[in-house]
Amino acid sequence: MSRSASLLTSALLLTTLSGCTVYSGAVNTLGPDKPVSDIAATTEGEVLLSTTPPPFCPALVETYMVMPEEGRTGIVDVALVNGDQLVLEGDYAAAEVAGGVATTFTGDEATMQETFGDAIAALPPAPIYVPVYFYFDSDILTDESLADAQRLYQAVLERAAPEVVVTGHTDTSGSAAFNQTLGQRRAEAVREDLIDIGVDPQTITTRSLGESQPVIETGDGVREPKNRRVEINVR
Amino acid sequence: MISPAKKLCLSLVLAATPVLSFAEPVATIKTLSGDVTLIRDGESLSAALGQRVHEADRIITSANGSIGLLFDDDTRVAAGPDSTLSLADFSFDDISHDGNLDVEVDNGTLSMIAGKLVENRPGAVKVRTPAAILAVRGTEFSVKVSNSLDKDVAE
Repeated sequence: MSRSASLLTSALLLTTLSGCTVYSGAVNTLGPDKPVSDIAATTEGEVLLSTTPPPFCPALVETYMVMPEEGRTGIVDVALVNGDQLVLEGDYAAAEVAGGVATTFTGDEATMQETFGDAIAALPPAPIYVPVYFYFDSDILTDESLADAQRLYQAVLERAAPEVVVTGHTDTSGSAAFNQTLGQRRAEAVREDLIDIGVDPQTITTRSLGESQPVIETGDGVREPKNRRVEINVR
Repeated sequence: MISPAKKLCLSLVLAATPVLSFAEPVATIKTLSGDVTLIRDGESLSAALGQRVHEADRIITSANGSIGLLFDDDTRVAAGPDSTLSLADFSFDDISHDGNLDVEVDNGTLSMIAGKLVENRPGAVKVRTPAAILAVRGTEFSVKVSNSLDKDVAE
């Protein structure tokens, strides 16, 4: 009696400790020899990896950075799709948005170059604006302006794909109609100079604003050297 | 004299005309390296130095490509390699400096130095990305979009 009880106890203990492997192992030997379905042979193909990114690695990461500016403070307002608002203000002020969540940080020259260097290097040079001045009632440059004009013409030749916008102006002496024509003559004089040094005529635009846009406000009929000018914009 | 059918046809043509004249030249390509493609009215063009870029053009740079644009308001925009951007909207009044610029960046890097539009009205230049709208109050900034979903669609 006590012998069969101790046998049962040891059998239960063995089953518990072995995690039923003895029992399940015994039962599994009763199954079919090849536990593989026949269908598997006809449906097995290449292993395809998912092309969609895993959920813990966001598909969309964006970085914004204010670039350093001399004498000015850069500001960019950021409105995220989820409704959040950020203001990036000052040199290197930056934010990274990953999975729709924004984290602000302050970058430096090295992180800026690493992240955006190729785009920054492709920025075109700033356009140049230089006024040149003319003698009264003429399309002849003043002696002082002649040197400025020559320097500027060289700058045109040094640019890649240059365009020049030439705008003629006059003072208020004489009629508005006369000054419209005089402004155009001054612009054309600069255009001729540019063509002479080899600038493609198709890249030069001329126009006259006559006496309508003075640098120095005067009444009508006033001679003002500062208003007798051509504004040359090299782009 | 004109039959009603002809009238209808004519009015349809006239109604369609503004759509065709919509795409104005707005910027000039000032720097260029590698392969850069412009998509205009569904056609692919190879970008060239000095070429004018139109409103609604899409710009795609290759892995070795970059491009720099000068807009008519003096705003400068550049894109690095593997970038896709669209010039969604541009208007600029040369005398008053009123107007606006909208650039969409789907992927890649963009650097911008805002010009007269922002000088005249802070916020007049906007950059739209898949995650945000950036309004430029001044003046120089950069954006990078790493959009792996977009890349899968593009390839």
